[in-house]
Amino acid sequence: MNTPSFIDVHCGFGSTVAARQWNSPDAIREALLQRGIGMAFASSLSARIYDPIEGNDELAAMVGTGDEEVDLRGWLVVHPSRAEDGHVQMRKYLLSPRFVGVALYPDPLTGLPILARNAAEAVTSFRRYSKPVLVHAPTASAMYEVVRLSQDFNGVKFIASGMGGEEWREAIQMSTKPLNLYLDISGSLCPDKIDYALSEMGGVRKLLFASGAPMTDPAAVLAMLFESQVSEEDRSKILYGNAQRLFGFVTQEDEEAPDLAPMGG
Amino acid sequence: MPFDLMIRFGPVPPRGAGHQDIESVRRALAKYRVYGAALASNRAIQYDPISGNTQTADAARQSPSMPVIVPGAVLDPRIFVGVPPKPPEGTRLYYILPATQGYVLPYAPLRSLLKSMPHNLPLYFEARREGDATQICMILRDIGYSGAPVFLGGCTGSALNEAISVAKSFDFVGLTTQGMRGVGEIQHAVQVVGANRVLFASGSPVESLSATMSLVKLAGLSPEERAAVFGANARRLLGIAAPVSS
Repeated sequence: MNTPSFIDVHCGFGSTVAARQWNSPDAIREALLQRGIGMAFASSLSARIYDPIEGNDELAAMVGTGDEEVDLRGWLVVHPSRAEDGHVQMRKYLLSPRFVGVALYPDPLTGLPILARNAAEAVTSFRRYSKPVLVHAPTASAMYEVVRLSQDFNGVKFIASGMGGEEWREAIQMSTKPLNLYLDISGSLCPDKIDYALSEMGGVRKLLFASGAPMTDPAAVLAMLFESQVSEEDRSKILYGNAQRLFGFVTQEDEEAPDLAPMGG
Repeated sequence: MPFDLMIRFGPVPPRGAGHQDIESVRRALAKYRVYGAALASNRAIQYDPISGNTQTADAARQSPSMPVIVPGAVLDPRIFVGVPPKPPEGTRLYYILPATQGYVLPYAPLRSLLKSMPHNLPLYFEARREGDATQICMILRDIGYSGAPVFLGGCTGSALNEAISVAKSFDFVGLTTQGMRGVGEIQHAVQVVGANRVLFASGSPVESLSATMSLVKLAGLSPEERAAVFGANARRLLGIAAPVSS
C-alpha cells in the first residue's frame, strides 16, 4: 500500500445469514476495500463459538501473504478451558507475522464473559510472544474482567473489544487507568460514546478502530466515528495511527496521512 | 431524500446529550440532508408519556415546513389503567419500545392497551430482543389486529431473522432499518420482504444517523429500491408530500 488506509483491528471470518460471502477472503477483501480499509485482523467465528482448533486452522489458510490489496491477518482464538490446545496452536501460529495476537471470547455455551482468574493461564503462556491480547468485552462486567487482567499482566498489551456494548459509559470509566489497556470502538453505534471516551480518557491514544464485522458493517462504525466530535487528527489516530504503533508496523515518524473522506456513495 | 421514521427528541439520560430542542433536530437533519423525521420523545420513554408526547408535538408544530418534522407518540403500557391513550393533535404514529422501557413480552398490559385503542395510526414496535418479534406477532393475532401498518425496528442478527419471518407471515408488518447493522442485512431484508416494506429509521442520536444512511447507500439496492426505503415508503405511510426537486 502506498497510502496508509484504515486498520480494522477486530473483525470476524465466517458467514452469517445476511453476509453469506464472509467466509471468502476475496469477498471480505472487496468489502473492506470498498469501505477504505486496507488492513484487518480477523478471528474465526467458528473458533469463537464452536471449535477453536478447526476454526484457527481455517483462518490460517485464508490470511494470505500480505501482498494482497487488503492485508488480512489473524487473531488466534484461545478458549481458557482448552489451555493445552491453545499452547499447541500458539507455538504453531504465533511466530508468524500473519497472526497478530491471541483473542479471548465469552464462553460459547453460557455467554459468560472471560474471567480474569480463568484466563490467567492462557495469558501466562502467551506473553512470551510479545503480541497483544484481545478480549471481547460486550458488557461492563466483561470490561471489569479485562481491566483486572491488564492490571495482573502489566507487561502485556490488552485490547478490550466492544467498549462494553450499550454499557459503554461504565466500561469507559473503569478502563481509563491501565496504561496497557486499549479500547476498540466497536459495540454500540452511539456517536456520543466517542466524545465521552475522549473526555474520560484524556485523549484518543488508547482508542482503535474495529468493526466486529460481519455482525456490524465497518461502514457503520466509520460513519459513527465521523459523526462524533473528534478532530481530524484524533480521528486518524483512531483509524490507523494508534494501531500502527501498537502492532509495531511503523514508527511514529513514518506515518502518512490517508484520505479521510467520509464513507458512503 | 431520506425521511427518518425515528429520531429521539429530548435529552438522553444520564449525560443529557441529544436533541435539547427542535432547532437541534433541524440542524442534524440538514447536516445529513434528511428531508424529514418523525420524533419519539425521550421524556415519554423515560418518565412521563403524557407530558413527553405533548412536549414533542408542540415542538414539531413550532418547526417551519422544512425539514418536515412530525410527532410520534410513545405508548407506555406500564402505566395503562384501562383508559385508551389520547395522542396529542398531529400525532402520525405510535412507538412501542419494550426493550428500551424494560418490560418483557408477553405483557398483559400491552395487550389490553392495544385492544383498547383505535388502530388508525401505524405502530412502530421495537423488536430488539430475540423472541420479541414473535411475541408481538402473537399479541396482534390475539387481538385480531387489522389496522394501520406495523413496523418492527431495532433488529439485527438473529432478531432480524425473526422479524423477517414475522413480516413474511403478515402483509401489514414491515421493517425499519433502525438496528440493522450487520454486513448485508438491509439488502437481505429488502430481498426477502420487498423494498416497499422496509423503511429508513435511525434511532438517532442514541444510534448513529450517518451509520444507518451509509448502510442503506452500501446495500446494493436499485435506485427505485433505495428511493422507496429512504423516503417514499414513509411519506406514503404518513401522508407527507414528496420533496420538490431543486
